[in-house]
Amino acid sequence: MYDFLSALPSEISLKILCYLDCASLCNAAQVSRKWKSLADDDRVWHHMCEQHIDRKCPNCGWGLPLMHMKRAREMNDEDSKLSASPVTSPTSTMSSVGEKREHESDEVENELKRIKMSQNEHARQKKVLKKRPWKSVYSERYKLEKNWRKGLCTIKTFQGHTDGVTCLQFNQKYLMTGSYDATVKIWRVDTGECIRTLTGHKKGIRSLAFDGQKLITSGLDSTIKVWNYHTGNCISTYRGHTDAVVSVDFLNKTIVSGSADHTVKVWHVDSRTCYTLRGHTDWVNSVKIHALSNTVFSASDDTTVRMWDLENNNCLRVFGGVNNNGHIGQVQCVIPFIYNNELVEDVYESDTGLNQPSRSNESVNLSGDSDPSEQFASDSEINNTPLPEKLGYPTHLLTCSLDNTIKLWEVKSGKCIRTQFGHIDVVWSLSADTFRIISGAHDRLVKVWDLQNGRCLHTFSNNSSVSCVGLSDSRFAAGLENGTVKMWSFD
Amino acid sequence: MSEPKVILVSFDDEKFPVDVQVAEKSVLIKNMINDLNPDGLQEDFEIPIPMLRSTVLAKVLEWCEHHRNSEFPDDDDDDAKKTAPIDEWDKNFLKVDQEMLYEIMQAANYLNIRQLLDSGCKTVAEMIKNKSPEELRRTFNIVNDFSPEEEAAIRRENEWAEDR
Repeated sequence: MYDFLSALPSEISLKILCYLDCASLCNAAQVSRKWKSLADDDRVWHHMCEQHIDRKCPNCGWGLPLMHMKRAREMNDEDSKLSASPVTSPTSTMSSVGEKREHESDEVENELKRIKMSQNEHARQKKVLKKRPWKSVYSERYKLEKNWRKGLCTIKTFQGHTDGVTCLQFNQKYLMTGSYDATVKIWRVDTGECIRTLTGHKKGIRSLAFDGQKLITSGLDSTIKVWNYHTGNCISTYRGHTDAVVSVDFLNKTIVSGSADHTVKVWHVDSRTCYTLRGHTDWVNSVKIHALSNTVFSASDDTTVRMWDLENNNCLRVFGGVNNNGHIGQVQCVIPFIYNNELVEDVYESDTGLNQPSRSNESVNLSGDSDPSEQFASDSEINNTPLPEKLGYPTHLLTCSLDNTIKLWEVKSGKCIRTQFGHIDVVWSLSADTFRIISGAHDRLVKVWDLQNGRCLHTFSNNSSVSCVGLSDSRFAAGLENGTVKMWSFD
Repeated sequence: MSEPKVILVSFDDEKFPVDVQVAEKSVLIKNMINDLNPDGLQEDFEIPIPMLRSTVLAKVLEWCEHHRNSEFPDDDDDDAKKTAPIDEWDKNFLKVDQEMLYEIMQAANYLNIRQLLDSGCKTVAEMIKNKSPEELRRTFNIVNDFSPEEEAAIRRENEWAEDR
């Protein structure tokens, strides 16, 4: 009998170990001193991290979260008394790594690069990464992922709003929620206490977005407000929409808003200019800036999603219509993202251009008197035009709708490639990262889905309709119609 | 006249005449041929391989012969390499006793035949997979050199990977 690992040159032994899964590696580390030194080797675990962190491993189907939010917090612990001190100079590097919303794919990619090429990195971040053995980096993420898979979590409740919660966002420290009670509340994630209530909007809040420095809100009073949430002061108010502003997003010094007046507006804060993007024929429920490609996506009650170029305000794509297997109800939320591996798509029995003729009959009936067939004809023209030469377009979109479904779209072709059924009522809100989709619906359920294959992994029930959801590496949150906010933590 | 051959000579002086294409599966031999015959082979070319017994060399050449026309995934694409399951023919080919497997892997390493070495590594990895520490010791004839206290501590340290 041969002790291969001890007898072979160590570079071959390490190569063998790189073909193992983590459970087998951990067993190998318990065999003998020699085996332990090989099976715990940093090179083996670096390889394991490369295989699994921020991607689904093609061998075992497991992927582990980046947990960059957590690391950012650890690096920033010295100035963590943010809420107590009235004036804090926010560090700009922090806001770009830790405090911005999770689904900015360029940031995710930057983070991935950092994990993968630890040699040419920022000195400070390098120090943090270098100190720790890769096995401990791996095991920390593995434990978290195991909890996600098994649905093991603790639930925290945030009580205070006196009317339905409409929007939320959170990072490692703060949870911010907006409500029909016309206030925004800022909560400490760890203790659950409400540390600030922002008042100023005259009617209900419908949308919010924040980073390390500022918070932007919009509401039924047709205004957009910018806040310094450290002091609680409203810095400025933007007026221009002629009806409720139900969605808002921002990037650097650009604010984008969607309104019940059917328009999308792009506000350039520095030059004090505002452009109006016209095309939707009903409320614009969701707007999302895709930073890397400098584009905006807008989802509307007219059942479509539009993609706009922020450089020239042109409409580049319209996602919708029977031929593209689009939504047959109002679209509530859109999330653009870049996914470089394979996503599982729906398979149709006939592979001709006219997939499922029965479906087209059905939706002609459903679209009723406001039949927008002419509009869709011109839309298909737009979609047949190749996208302008530019790098960094999102590859896919996720959307949810009043038709109870979640859809996955391919940006290049403008077609829906997957429909996820499971909710039995309106799906109000979506959030997603590299691995998961969280959906909140009128059926009072929050569902956790596998992004790659579209399967529903978990369902969590509530005592009220779910109007908004948010997701991070280790948590998700939901805002309910009865004013309650809940957070599920898997770490 | 037929093509000139490469004649590999084992440690125990057995001669193995093979086609250039087959011998060149080994990067070591390929470089040797090219370095010493910059204008190509004009006549049979003898290369001593004193590292290898004839039985092992015969086995390695059997692999080279079988794979003389095989295309392998891109060398640089680590993902493709890692994802590929072990070649079915290689799997059966490597169903040999542990000593032979060990010698084939040493030979593949020395002769620089990456795909054969990969298959060997995957075979050993399969032998390790899904076994408890005790089963691993029995499979590979290893003495447990931990003290009971150390063993308990290391078990706790590795518990996180169980039960997934």
